[in-house]
Amino acid sequence: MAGPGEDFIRLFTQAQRALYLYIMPLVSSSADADEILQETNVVIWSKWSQFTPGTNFVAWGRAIARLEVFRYRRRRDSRLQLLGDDVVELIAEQSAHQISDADQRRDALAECVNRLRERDRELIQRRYNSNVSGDEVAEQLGRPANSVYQSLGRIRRVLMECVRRRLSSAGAAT
Amino acid sequence: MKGKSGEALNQMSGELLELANRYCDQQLTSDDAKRLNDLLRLDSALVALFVEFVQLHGQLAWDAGHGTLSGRGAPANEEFLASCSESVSDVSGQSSAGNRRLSSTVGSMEMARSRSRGLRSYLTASAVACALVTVSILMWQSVSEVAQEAAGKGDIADIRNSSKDVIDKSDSAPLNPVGVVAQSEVGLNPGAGTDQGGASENSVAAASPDESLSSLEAVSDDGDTSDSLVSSGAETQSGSDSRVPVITAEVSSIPDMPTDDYAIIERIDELLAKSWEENGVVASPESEDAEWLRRAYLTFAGRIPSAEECRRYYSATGDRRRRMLVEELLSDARTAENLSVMWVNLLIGRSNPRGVDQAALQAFLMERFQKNEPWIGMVGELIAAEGRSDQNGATNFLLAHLNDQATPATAVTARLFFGQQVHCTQCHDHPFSRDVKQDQFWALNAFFKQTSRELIKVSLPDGTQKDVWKLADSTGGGMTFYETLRGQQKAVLPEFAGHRLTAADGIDRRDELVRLLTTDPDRQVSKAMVNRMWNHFFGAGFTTPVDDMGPHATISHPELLSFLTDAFVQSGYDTKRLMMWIALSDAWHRTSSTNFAGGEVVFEQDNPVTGTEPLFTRVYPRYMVPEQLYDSIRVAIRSVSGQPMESSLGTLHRTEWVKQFVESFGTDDNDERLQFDGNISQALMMMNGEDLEQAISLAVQSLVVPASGKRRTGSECLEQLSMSVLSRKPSESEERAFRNRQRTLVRTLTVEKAMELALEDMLWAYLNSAEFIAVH
Amino acid sequence: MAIWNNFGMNRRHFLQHVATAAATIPAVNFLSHVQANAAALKSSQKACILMWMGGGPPTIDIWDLKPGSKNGGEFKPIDTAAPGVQITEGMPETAKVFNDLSIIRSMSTREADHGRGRYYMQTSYVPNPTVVHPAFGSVVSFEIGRKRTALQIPAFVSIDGGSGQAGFLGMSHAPFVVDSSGRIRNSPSDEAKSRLPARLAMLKEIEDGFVASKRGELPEAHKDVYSNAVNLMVSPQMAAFDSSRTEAALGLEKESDQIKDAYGRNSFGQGLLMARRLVQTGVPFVEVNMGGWDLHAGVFQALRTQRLPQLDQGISALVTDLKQRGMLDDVVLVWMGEFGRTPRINQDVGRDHWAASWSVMMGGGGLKNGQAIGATDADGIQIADGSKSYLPGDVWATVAHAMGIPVNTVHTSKRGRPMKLANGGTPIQELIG
Repeated sequence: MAGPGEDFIRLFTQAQRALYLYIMPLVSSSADADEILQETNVVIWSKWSQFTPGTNFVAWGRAIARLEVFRYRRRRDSRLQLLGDDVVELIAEQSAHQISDADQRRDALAECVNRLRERDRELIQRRYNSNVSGDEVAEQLGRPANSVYQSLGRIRRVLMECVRRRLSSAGAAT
Repeated sequence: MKGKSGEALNQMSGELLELANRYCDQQLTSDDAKRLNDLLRLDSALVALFVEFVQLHGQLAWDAGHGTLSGRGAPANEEFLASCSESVSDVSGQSSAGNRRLSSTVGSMEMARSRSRGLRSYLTASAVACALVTVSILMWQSVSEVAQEAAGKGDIADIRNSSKDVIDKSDSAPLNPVGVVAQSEVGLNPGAGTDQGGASENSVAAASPDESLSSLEAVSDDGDTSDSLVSSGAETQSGSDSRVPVITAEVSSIPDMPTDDYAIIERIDELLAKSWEENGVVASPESEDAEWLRRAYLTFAGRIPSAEECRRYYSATGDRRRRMLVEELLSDARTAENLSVMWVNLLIGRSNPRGVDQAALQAFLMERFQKNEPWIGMVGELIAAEGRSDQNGATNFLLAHLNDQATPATAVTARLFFGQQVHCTQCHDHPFSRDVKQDQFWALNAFFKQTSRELIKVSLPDGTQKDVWKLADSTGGGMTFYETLRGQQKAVLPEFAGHRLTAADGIDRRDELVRLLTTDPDRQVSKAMVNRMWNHFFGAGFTTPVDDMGPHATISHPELLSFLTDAFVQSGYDTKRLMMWIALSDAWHRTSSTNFAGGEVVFEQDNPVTGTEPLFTRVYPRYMVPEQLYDSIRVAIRSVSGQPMESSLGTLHRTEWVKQFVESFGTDDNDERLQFDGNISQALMMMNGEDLEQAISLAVQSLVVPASGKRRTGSECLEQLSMSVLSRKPSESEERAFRNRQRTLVRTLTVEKAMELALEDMLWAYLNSAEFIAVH
Repeated sequence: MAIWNNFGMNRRHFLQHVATAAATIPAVNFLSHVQANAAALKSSQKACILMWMGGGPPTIDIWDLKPGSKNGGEFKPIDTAAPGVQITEGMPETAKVFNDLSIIRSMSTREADHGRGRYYMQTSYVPNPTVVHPAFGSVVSFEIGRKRTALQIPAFVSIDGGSGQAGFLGMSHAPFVVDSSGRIRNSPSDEAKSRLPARLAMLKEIEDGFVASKRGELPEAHKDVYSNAVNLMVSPQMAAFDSSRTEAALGLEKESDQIKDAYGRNSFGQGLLMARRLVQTGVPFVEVNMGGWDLHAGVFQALRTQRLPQLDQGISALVTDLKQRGMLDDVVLVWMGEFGRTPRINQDVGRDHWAASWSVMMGGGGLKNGQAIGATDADGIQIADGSKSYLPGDVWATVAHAMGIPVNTVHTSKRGRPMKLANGGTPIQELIG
């Protein structure tokens, strides 16, 4: 076989989201997360033959991603140094645990976003749809940046709690 | 201590989320980052929380960027939404309500000292305070236990134990906290829990549900009523012998409902605080006395305070003065008058297109409000009134709305008393509420179809005659008919809240409707009044508009509304207590100004004018209604002139004056439009009105040279002006403006004349200011 | 459906576009802006006179008669100056000038409650608890009034009552309500005028303090309204309200008894005369109210003895007068109420509320007049097969077109929501040609 097979490609595709979510807490900006994911993908692709079918693809990919994160941290500017290496380790470990129920979380979040007050939903959509910074959102809306950041924080918390609630009620139902 | 560290963790969670949020937006400062690192090193629970939060951020970013996220398009589920927001508040303070409540108990002594608000400080004045607060906790707990279930049982147990400790420690804790309240000259109602005497005085022979349903049958699904058309007729006749409808403020004990006023007020505060937290807003700071004093007079008495009333209030010391003023205003006849005017306007309008006896209706309402009759009783009297328009003022409500097959009577009854807008279902099913059907309108309408009015001549003692209306019913039964737009005839029977009357003869259908109100499981009469009263105090209700609370309506604070609805029912529909609860709630004491750090953000988030749901972080400024303006101008002018306040300002001239702003559409719905929204005509009236100009000049003359003789100085006069009009001292820039004007005038006039003219101009300016015309 | 539903690229970019414009500045695309300027060059004195028939007029007895139907009622149709267009026999003078008027016979507007219908017809939007939409008069005040810097009196005047509100456009675009007698209540005495500047200076100090306390829109709105009121008080244009006053500088003359008689010595007629004077002075939107149309009983009697004669005299005089002065092409006329009335005649010989099929009359404004557009069926109970039906937004879009307001103008509500002019209505093709 000259390259990765259909199964590998399927697993690879399916893992993208989980890996992205794994990386995100380590770097905070989606641009950085995107870039690290791309580099991780390159490595995964190059090492496809080392993957043992039947084992956990995401866990395998995560290990690669973790190394990429640390590499990336070293060669980039100070904003990536905000968290100490030891803390990033802690987060990485935790982050690995928390993506096991990603699918339910996704559905739950979709519901929760739908249920936001219209105004809040629009704000979240502005922020993430074109992935612009809070400053740009503030400019679009003619609101003080400060207030936009506060609103975003509040909405994220609402969403987090809503997701929790949904997951726990879903858990109870099954 | 475990509890202690749990609380510390809690606090840190809050901080961590704050930092995590900044992290997501790349807004961390280096100090922030340092703190974040420290926190994450501290506890793995915090790391987990951090990851959860930032992963959510990641999810949002990923799903937005990749468009892979597909919702299932599930229909909106209100219940879920509610539970969602509930959990938010729970977690944000980790069973916040309970913990905060506990700490407020334990630390109530210290806390009260640091807070200037009357209620709480007063509580600490004696040792019983702790016990009282504790009791309210226990009550509150039982109410909220269900809600708390999801939030971790351990916390609740903790609270219980600790509250028990508090009680044990407090030697003087009385078994009956109510008694303590009563002794301590508070004047707050002790509540029905221990003594129902007060409430049962109000209730007239409470009808048992069975009795009251004697002429009714439950609505069956197939809607077939033919069986019972005859059968229940005889029973009904005897059942409705008492001509006076049995109106009762039935004090049905609602499980887990706090009965003492303290607990109710605390619960209001609690629920609002919860919603502020959920929405990430801070409420505005406590208002200055001047602002609050003015608001209190305008809300209760319908006018600004006089200069003398202001000074009396300011000279009182102590933290209790706000509460004492609320109590004073509650028992003041002017409050009853204000309520009665408000309700005359709601019930029959200002323009009185059908020419009924406005004055008699007002006298009726005034008398009832002054006696603080149960609201549901008043509603019953208005709905079931019979007799002459001059003798029974209550008849004038229906007399004004019996035109066009009593469709206005139906629509106005539903709107004012039940908070339901059904007028559009007169012609077709509700446009945006699938649950409200055309036949419901006509089924309510059927209650009024036996009613008729006739014009009769009566002889007066002086030998002259006058025309009065007489309102009467036939008790003939039968179906009533309405016509669909296509001209089809349809038949209905009277039906309300799931109960349908039979077609038998001998039933006074309006009396039956009144009976049904008291057994309505939805407590619509209470809910509608609570919402309207809340709106009266805050300038926004729980729904917009305030009298549209149908199934489609969005309710801003469902839990609070339903709590107050129950509390109002339990109080025996005690209007004054309802007013007191709202007036003493924490939120009503906050300033309407958003001029504080972070105020811009709060303003942005809590500004119902833009159509968003109110959060009640402050009272919303609005224009005075014309009656308020009329009375306030009079108070201001009299204060300036040094005249005493009239006990009653008299309504006749005011009624005429108000009419210039009212336009009757002359349509079948008896609708009218009030042109009093701060428009140009209103500005012209305030700027150029001849009456006002004369009044200003006369008032200033007696201000400068009072009856007592000694001429006042300019600054004394200026202070009297601003106190009379705006209930406060003049600002520096106002003083400057006044002096400048005086200086200009004195070039051509004598000093005395210059001062007089400058004062006139200043009074004019005060009266024309937004600060005066606004209730804020 | 994705969670970003109803938020595809188009909408997102659209919103961003709107949001970048300042909240009070409407977003207009470049092309329409050019058109607007071209229109403005053609004439700077475009105006609209709305004849508001409060209560809901029985258009089946006036503009869309049904002879031979059981719903037909007591009036017969007569021919008008416009070939093929018939109206009620009760309006013979109006029939003579019908070359300059048109009827839209296929209004279908679903709101048959007075309050809701009034709101819908005035704003083009159905009532919504979260936003108060502006009446079209306020839209005109906002769009055109602001540009007429020489205009010192309010740009939206309502005579004998007002049925509209400024909504989110703000109180300074609210209708100024006057009565047809021409007297403005509480106009200033000379002494008051002389003290006004000093008083306003003092007032400013108080107002500034209150505005600084940040209590929302009310203090600012109060300031704006006061400044409008002051402009009005000191303006010689006040003369436009009073037909007995002359103000040569404004191109107004004292109206002769002859012209007053021509319009009819009733408040509707005199209101129309005042409207013409106001339009001459540059007021872009005048509403003249004629109430009392809620004719649930005795409809024919009321029409015959009072309503139709007044309408006939007033409308025909207005058209003739505007035409003689060369103003008719610049002044668009609209005649409507909140809805029509039931084709079926009820037991009280009245007609009830009916929004499913009724008529609005328009005219002047450079429209292609002399037409009846759309049709109802033989009994008047529904829009005839094959006939297009129209909404209030279409009527107001036609007015906007006639007045040179770009039809794709978008306003922004206080909440930041984009609101299309006339709820996105389309100008009626037959009228704009």
